[in-house]
Amino acid sequence: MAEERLRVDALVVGGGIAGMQASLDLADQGYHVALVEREPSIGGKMIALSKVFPTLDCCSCITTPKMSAVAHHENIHLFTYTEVKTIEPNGGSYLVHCVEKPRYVDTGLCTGCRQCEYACPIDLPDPFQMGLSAHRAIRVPFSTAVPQKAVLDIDHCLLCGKCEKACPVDAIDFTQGPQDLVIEARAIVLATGYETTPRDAKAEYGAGKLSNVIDGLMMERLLAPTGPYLHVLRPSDGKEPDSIAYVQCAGSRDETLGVSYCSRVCCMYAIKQAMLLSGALPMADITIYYMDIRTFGKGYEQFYQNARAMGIEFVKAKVGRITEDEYRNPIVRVEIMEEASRVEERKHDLVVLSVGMLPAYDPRPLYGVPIAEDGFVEAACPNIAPPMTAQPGVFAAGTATGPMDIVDSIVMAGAAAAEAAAYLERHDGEAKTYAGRSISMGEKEAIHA
Amino acid sequence: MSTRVDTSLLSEIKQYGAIDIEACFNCGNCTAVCPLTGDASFPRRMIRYAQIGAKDALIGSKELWLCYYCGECSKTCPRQAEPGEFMAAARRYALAEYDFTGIAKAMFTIPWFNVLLNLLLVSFFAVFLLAFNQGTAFDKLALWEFLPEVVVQISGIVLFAIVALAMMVGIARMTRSIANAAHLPISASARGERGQAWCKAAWLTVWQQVLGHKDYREDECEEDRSKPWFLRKWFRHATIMFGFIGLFGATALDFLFKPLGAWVPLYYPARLLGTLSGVLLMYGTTLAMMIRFRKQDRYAAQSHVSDWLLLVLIWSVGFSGFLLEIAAYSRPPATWAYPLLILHVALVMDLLVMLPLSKFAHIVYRPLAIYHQKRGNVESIETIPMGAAST
Repeated sequence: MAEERLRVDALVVGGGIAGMQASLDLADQGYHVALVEREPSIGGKMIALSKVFPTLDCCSCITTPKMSAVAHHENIHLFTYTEVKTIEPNGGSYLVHCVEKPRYVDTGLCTGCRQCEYACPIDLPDPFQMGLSAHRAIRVPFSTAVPQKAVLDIDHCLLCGKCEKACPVDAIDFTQGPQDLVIEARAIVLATGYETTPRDAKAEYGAGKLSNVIDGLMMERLLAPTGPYLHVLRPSDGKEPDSIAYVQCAGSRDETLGVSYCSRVCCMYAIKQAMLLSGALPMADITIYYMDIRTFGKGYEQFYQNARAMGIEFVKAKVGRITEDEYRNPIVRVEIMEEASRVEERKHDLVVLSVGMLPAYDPRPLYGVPIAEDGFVEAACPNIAPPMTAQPGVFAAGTATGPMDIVDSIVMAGAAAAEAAAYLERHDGEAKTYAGRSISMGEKEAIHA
Repeated sequence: MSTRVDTSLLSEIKQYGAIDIEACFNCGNCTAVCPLTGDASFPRRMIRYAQIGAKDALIGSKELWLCYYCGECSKTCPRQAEPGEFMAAARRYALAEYDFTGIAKAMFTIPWFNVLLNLLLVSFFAVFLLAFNQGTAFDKLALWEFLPEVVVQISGIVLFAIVALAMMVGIARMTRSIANAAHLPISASARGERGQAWCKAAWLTVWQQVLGHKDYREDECEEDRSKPWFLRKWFRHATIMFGFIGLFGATALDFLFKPLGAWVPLYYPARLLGTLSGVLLMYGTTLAMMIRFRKQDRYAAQSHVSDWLLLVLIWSVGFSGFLLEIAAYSRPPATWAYPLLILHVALVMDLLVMLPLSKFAHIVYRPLAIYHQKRGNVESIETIPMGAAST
């Protein structure tokens, strides 16, 4: 196993929207950036979304150009399907040991033609479609994946060899193993993102066992133009739902789950989805059960008022329980706080849990970066330099630092890039020899050697 | 009608045990998860009353007494504000408001006073009874020669009359509070063609709810449902309640049919009833104390001093009663039973005094609240076709 070694100015961990933006902002200033992404494609959570609020722009149309820009930027070295394993300080820089997981596909040869995918006999739940449809054991992760290269799930592979025969460029390589990779970086930007509340987190909401109770990301896929059914259908029987309910704060502001904070995006994504549903299913009744509607951003309140005016029903009530009837129609139990207040059980065809944001990654063991009480990365100076962490040279951006929407993630990624650039300038011993910033990697190796 | 705002209401209720209720942000999760809400709506509305200082509305809420504290609301509360414990505290508060003497309030809010008052009362009754002792016979056990039964009967009846009077005042105050809060004249619905509603509501209350434990059985939390029936909360309560009723019946039968101080065999009907009822009572109270001690179930995680007092008192009465029964049937005569008799009777008298002043009063207030609730339901169903004549 050959060990590659690469010297860069900054390492960006995570290839979601924040990581991509931070990489681009650093690279555009002339810094050399290594972007490490755990998944086979960059794009993060955002590429799986349907539209963005409050403008209702197509999400793919915004994300895909950024993904391409990252992949083709001359100053960005993109490592997908790669994880950071260990990290050691190295006199003003960090030696980052990574492992590139085997794709069992030679990415130098693969053209993304998908012949292997058509030949593969194995169907598995597709995580990109939130398990609503299937993919093959060997596949290009999704239609707009970057890099557009196949990846083989060896755990579920029969080793039947059909893909190897089908591949027109002989890119399938069952002998691949993990590749070690060492990156020497002078600054690090953590953009490790978030996870959503698991659908089975709350026993009162059926503990994930009610098939017509889905979460917000699943609804994003149902609404997306590249979605699993190209139509909004409910999972249990493929029926077109006539009545859809949103359960707000299904995982946020809930101390029984240890989450006391507001996840900030759920009100807006529920309203956005409700609006999109009004277009996709014009006859459907849409209800949003909420504790408070928090529409804090620019244009957000107007967005909410528009949704009300469109006839989306907003009910101020925390859903206590969700059960289902014999036809698997979910029934929500709520207190209607009108007059003397009363409890109602309301039947819907489909219920969407507006799940919250949870920290996805603990940076303490590798980076020595402390986390706050909520589990997200703790800012050293939250009010004057939010992307700075307690670790010198390590910055954080996006939802790794706490719940935020796409706009805020992009803003913070830019801020992290600026902080990292300033740090690089301050600590650049051979700053003058770096003049021009467009020197090739080979030259840079020579300078440091 | 105007609403009086009592700005200190919340802090006052917190003295009764609802320590975390300020965390509540009124989302209504508690009401929606409650297995008993349907016709009635609680606990969220009750908490709101407390937060905004609507004292009259709170103490006039029959819903306080419809809750059996299964703990589901506390378990699922997003703010962990313990709404179940709030309901218990609000019941204590309401009970203290119905008590005109102020003793209930002092007992609920000052733990050491609670314990001290009971110790003093038991000691007082013991000394009082001892004053009538007729000397001890050691060759045989002659309890009712030592303590003349007539003393117990007469002092018991006098005490019972006083307590009943105090209880009547409490009932009147509670009824007035409920009527005020509902903006209804007290007697409006008790007359005329609504007589049937009255009967039906009383029947539903006594048969379904008090004797049948209907809502109590429905109000089961997750943990309770996984237990065998004989360990469940409603069954525990039923054993204590029927134990009490049985012992009350046995005493009444003795009073009516048994010659004073006569020895009867164990299979004598009244004695048999008393023994079996005592077993039920001991089973229920022992189990309840164990569960409060273990604190595993949500409804028993926080025990107020008044919760313990009632259990300990009833258990002591049952336990001393059983020791007396053992003494009465043992050979040679168990002379230690003489002081035990004094203690047992003094404990019973203390329990009687506690009826209007402690958690014990729920045996009156809870059925009364259920009755009002049922009557409201029956009437609202029956008055719909006739139009809103009463308003």
